[in-house]
Amino acid sequence: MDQAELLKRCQDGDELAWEVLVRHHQGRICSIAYNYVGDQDEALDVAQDIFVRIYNRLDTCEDPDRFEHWLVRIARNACIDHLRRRKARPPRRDIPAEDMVNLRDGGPTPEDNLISSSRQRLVHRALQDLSEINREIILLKDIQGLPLEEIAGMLDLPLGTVKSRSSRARLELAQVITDMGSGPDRGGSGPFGGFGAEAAS
Amino acid sequence: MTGRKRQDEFVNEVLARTTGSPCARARTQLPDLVDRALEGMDRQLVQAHLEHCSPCRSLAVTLGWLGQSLQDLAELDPGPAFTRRVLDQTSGINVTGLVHASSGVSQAPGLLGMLERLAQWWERQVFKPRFAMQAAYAATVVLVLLTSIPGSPLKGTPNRALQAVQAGPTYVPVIGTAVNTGSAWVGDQVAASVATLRGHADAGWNEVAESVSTRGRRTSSARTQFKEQLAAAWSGARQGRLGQAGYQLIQAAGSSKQIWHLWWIDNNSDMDHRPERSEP
Repeated sequence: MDQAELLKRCQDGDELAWEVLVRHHQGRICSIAYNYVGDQDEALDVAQDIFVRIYNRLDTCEDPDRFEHWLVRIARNACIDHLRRRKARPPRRDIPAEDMVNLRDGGPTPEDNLISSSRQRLVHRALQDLSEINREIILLKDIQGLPLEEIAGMLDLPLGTVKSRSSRARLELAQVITDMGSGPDRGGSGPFGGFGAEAAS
Repeated sequence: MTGRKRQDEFVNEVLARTTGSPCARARTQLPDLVDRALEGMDRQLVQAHLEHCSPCRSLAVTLGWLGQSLQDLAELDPGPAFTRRVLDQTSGINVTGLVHASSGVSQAPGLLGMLERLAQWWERQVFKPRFAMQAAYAATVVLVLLTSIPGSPLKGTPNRALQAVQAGPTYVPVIGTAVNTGSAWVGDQVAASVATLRGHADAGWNEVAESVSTRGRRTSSARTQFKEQLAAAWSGARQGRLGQAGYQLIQAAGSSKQIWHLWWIDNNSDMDHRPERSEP
């Protein structure tokens, strides 16, 4: 489907076009929200708010070719706003340490519902151990596939800084994963499977 | 001990006494190796290092599958109900026809749009760390304006308060009487001061009371409406009809704005018969 036509129809108020656009991008928006917020229920609420924000600002997207970048930028801003509000808000209640042990019932955690693969879960948990800036660069570059120029503009950093940080962030993430036990299946194709085997050889 | 292991240990000892471990340098080049951006001699050197360094090799393995795993995280399935919820939220905006198609930024016009923007602004403000300090500052500014701008019902209050303070004990009748018995001249002055102050105070109070009374009459209808809407919202919320409760709250917000408007507008009798705002 032509992205420009779809966007134009959405801007004209076509509900069907809007539905298609939501269905097409909801996975990406939910992923961004989840990677920023870290909690499934909260992420879904934030993702809904992001779509409402997108809907209210559809007219500001003038270049259909850059629609996805525009989308990610809005999602990122909404997530940051949400995190700021969450930071300013006091916790709802304190849970005693002994009760927290009882909270884990051994069943699937909320993120287990949203992320199906064990390897994805591992990566997601490792991401939480990175610094904020490194996590954000990985989210924007390696997960969402944004070009470095776009990320540099979004984060207000020099292009060279983003480029060097990108490599370092990925290396740091790999180190965290390796320290966590090198993943549930160590690459899926043997202990030195995948590209590592080629690299090692 | 195998020959290979012995060789590795020997090399490590030599490196430790000369250049140090080359792992740090190798690791900076691992992302490029994985991305196939490392060529020629550099590639061969890193590969040779990996052959003999188990930790770096593990890291290379992880980096190898990490790229694809990260890409797999680009989209997550939120479940079938998610789309419906988003469409429900956004279609509410559409149905009431509140979207400007050509205004640059789509915004709901009129009272609802203003309330929506006001609510968003308030939400942003209230979570700011310095909100309390800013609110106190704003309240001070408002207080100063209320007591200094011409036509304000509270104008002159600070002066009258200052006069009362400066008059001191003469405001207390017992002391005033004692002073009178001590000196007729002083007593006359005190009596005159007290009379003047009372006159000022009475005039000021009458003015304020009349103003309050007029404003009360003017806003009576809107206040009644406001109370009814709040009661309806509360009733709706208790019965679990959140939509109705929300609508009534929005209406109540509109009424509160009208009360505010009617309270502060200083054109008198024609406002008493001003028709109520029609429902949207």
